[in-house]
Amino acid sequence: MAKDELDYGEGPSIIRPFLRRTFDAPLEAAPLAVDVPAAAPLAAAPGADVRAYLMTGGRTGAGAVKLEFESMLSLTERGRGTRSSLTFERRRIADACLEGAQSVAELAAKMHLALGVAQVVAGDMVGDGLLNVHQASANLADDIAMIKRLIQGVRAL
Amino acid sequence: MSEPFDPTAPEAVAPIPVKIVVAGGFGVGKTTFVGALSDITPLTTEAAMTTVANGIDDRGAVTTKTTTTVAMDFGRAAIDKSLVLYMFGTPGQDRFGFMWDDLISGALGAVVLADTRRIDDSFPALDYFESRHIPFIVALNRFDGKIFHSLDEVRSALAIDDSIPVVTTDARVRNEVKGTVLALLDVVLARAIARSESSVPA
Ligand SMILES: Nc1nc2c(ncn2[C@@H]2O[C@H](COP(=O)(O)OP(=O)(O)OP(=O)(O)O)[C@@H](O)[C@H]2O)c(=O)[nH]1
Ligand SMILES: [Mg+2]
Repeated sequence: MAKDELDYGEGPSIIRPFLRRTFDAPLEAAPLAVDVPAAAPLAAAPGADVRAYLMTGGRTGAGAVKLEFESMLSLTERGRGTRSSLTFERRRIADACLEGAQSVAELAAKMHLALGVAQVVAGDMVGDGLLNVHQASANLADDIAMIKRLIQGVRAL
Repeated sequence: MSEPFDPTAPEAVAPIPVKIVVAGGFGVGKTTFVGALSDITPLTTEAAMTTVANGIDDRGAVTTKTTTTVAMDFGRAAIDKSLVLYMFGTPGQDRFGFMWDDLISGALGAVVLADTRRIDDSFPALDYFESRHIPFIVALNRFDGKIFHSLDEVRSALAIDDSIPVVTTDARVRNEVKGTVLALLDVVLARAIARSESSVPA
């Protein structure tokens, strides 16, 4: 083996290469170093991309209201009242929220939608007053009382 | 003591979700780890992501973007009536960086799971969390009860700051996973306290 070749069998004899690239630089499509276990694609129906595109108007990642994957959604009065006249995906989301608040991630998993799509459609519904959003405040990382409460809660799990 | 949130109760107000991320190489035990603490069997979602690929693909076309899907699973644990912990397990390939920005948005911190036999699989996740200044710890998953190198050896291989805890864990054991999450939350708390002290005028 050439001297500068890394021996990947040796574990920590490898030192992490520094500054290989920064995450702000565009990613290069590096070949995978590991075989990706063929992830069973969910809902890989023909035309799925097109449908996702139509639902979100080509946007991903940000609806009218920016949601996180863990943001919890509940129906507003308005959402409850107009549920039956909503278009397909919105109707499904509203129906799922009838049972109680749901996170974006749970909606995506149950409805076989990509996370980014669920995020955008639900975000639009929040913008249109159909859903309420419950999420941690943006300064959660500085909320010492909340973090302590979380620590206590995890200890008691 | 803590009553779990019952979403179907008439007076139910949705709990506030808080999120941590569990990252690491393929097969390192992320889903097992999440499942050990979760109230539900981890659910799988897929995230589509765009990879910038400047180059020429094998059909001879100039490509600038490709879309890949990555499976990401998550679980949740009700903390009390109004707080729920979400744990997202995500593969740690650096080419998935674009998805990670969406994932870590709002996250309190991350656990980087590593297998000491394939320690370099965790490098992309370390690079990423360092670059984003997200609180994280490294947890060595003890496959078959062993870790194959001392914590010091691992720490020097990882070349991480001394302030970052390196712990061992067993992703299959609920109490161990709990301890690992608590180790992360201690870092989160220490950072919050340090920030609040530095912002108070002397
Ligand atoms: N012996 C042992 N086996 C483990 C441990 N953690 C996980 N496993 C096993 O390792 C395999 C991979 O675990 P997963 O939890 O699926 O790993 P993952 O990181 O989610 O894998 P991908 O999502 O495919 O990247 C499974 O067969 C687990 O049962 C551990 O601590 N000890
Ligand atoms: Mg997994």
